[in-house]
Amino acid sequence: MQTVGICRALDAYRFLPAWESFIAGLGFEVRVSPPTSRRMLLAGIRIAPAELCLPVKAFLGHVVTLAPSVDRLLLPRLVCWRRDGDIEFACPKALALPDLTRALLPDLPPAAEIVFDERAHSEDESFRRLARALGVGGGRWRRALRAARSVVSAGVGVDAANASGPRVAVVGHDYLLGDDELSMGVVAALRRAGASPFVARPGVADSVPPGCFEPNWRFERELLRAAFRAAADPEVGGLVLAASFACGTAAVTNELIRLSVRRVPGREAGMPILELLFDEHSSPGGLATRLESFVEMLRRPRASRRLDSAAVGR
Amino acid sequence: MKLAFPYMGEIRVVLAPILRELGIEPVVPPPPDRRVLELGVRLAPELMCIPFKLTLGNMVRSLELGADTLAYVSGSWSCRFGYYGRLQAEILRGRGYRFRLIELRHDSLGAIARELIALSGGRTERAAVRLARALRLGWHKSRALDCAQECCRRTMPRAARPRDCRAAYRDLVRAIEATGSVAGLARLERSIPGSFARVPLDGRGRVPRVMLVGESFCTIEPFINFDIIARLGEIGVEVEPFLTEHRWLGFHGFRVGKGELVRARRAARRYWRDCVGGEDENSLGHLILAARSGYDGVIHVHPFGCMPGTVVQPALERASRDYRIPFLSLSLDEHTSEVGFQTRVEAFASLLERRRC
Repeated sequence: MQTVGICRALDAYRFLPAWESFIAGLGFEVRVSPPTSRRMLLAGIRIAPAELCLPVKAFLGHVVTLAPSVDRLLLPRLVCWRRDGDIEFACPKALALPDLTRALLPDLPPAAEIVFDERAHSEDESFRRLARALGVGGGRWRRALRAARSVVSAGVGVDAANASGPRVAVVGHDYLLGDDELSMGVVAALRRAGASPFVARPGVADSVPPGCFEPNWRFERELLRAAFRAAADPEVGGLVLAASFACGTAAVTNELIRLSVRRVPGREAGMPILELLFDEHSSPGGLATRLESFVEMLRRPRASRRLDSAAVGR
Repeated sequence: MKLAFPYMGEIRVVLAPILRELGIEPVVPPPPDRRVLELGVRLAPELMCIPFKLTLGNMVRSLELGADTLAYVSGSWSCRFGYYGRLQAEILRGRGYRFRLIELRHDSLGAIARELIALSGGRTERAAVRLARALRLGWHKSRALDCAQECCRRTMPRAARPRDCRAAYRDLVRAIEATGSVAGLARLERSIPGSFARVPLDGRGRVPRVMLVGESFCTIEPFINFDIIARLGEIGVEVEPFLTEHRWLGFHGFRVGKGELVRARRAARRYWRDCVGGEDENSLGHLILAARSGYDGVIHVHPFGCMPGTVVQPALERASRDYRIPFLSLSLDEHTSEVGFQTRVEAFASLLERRRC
């Protein structure tokens, strides 16, 4: 039986159960790379341009690790979707991921792309084309897709509740917060620092205050709505915005959150926001210090806080 | 209406007269300098790209010069450029500035047309005539500017004193700005090659030729790219930018046969399936075109953190290896040191000279 490799990185954090089920349903043995290790990350860093964000470097490390042991390699290309009469894009790195990978690693096993581009074709068609790319003809793909759709993705639903600590909503991509190597276990670290953290889940479009525009990026819209939904919850004491250094989309969405949070009912005086940037130079010690300071600030009575001095950057 | 638009290269030479013809007063800030960059850097999110930061600083200056309307090209793409207007407006309003935001996008053209009609006293035909006249004037300004830029960069590498070219170019830009008639601009344009023919040459034969590719703003704005075209021209290297103000504004004058460019883009598909914004696809196509047309090297400029610029870099490097053309990639932001930049560019130029011998 031929093996197909799927990298446990980037959008696989969202779509792995469906992709794995579909490809297995076509008659292949699926091999998924292990969770990111330091060695894997370094393998990606070694070949990637320095300015690329950490999760993409991790993806490349996964490719390097997985490629020797599989016959085919799945390379996702996420372009855009149609939602509520609007087009929502993925970020440029997701759009060009296969091209980037091939340019850096020319000697890969044969790749099979799964392309999501709803300007060009439906999601069903994306799966049909993947089946063709893997050499599977006929209608087998339909059965495999039906089975894949019934697999529900659990998502990164981390809620490390701590009854005595201030409630903190963590906003960040699944592939960052769900990857302990990349995020240095930031949610658990927040709990150790005395907070009651949870990963903010998306709200609806209404969560976003009027006057704040929503960029046409699918996953970033979810983050924006998640942040404002958390801000509207009076139980939430503060927000932690977790992003990768050089994440271009985060530069926009985090600024929008900072600029518009005062328009959320109940947050007219502002809201404590901690922005964290993750890259390969991040240190756990430094992270712990910043989290402890933030939690300590949240514990203090409101009147004694200077909310406009919330920490920025890394 | 006092309208400001983002400052980039010399687009003001074309856009200001167009606006005046339409009955709108353009507000043009002075050319960028270190202070306006620092202003933009202070107001902008740290990880936004340098074109955002510089144009933001320039918009502040425009507002302080009395602009009441800010206009941007806008859209929803994968790269961030389409959000510049909306994000800058939020930041500036958060700082207390009051103005109207106009976005030029597919779905706002109708509203803009109605405004132009209103500016002509509600008379549609008059508005249409005004628009046609404005665009015709702009077209001639843009062509003349493009001609001056082309002659300057072709002559400078061979000039005995490169500053003669700079002086001739600056005089021509002033003349283009001062000339208000289409006939006058046509005459001026015809005289441009002659102005540069008078520049004494140093007798060199063939000079190394480099194609400049990359993100639009970094290719066009000399303050950000350390005036790379003139800098290389001064040391005897001819630089051909893949994009100029004229082409960017949509007045496409193809220097090469359109067929060649189409073939180059097709060749680029092997490395790059889709455009992600930021001129990635175009940069690859022009690299391949440069290799096929006998250029000596390719330089790629992009803002630090530019998503398309970063993600296309490995593909450019691979193509440069496959096509055997020397390639240099430069990342630009407010921290880029001029000395470091100069060193790398000079080293690249030396490499090209050595290869030719």
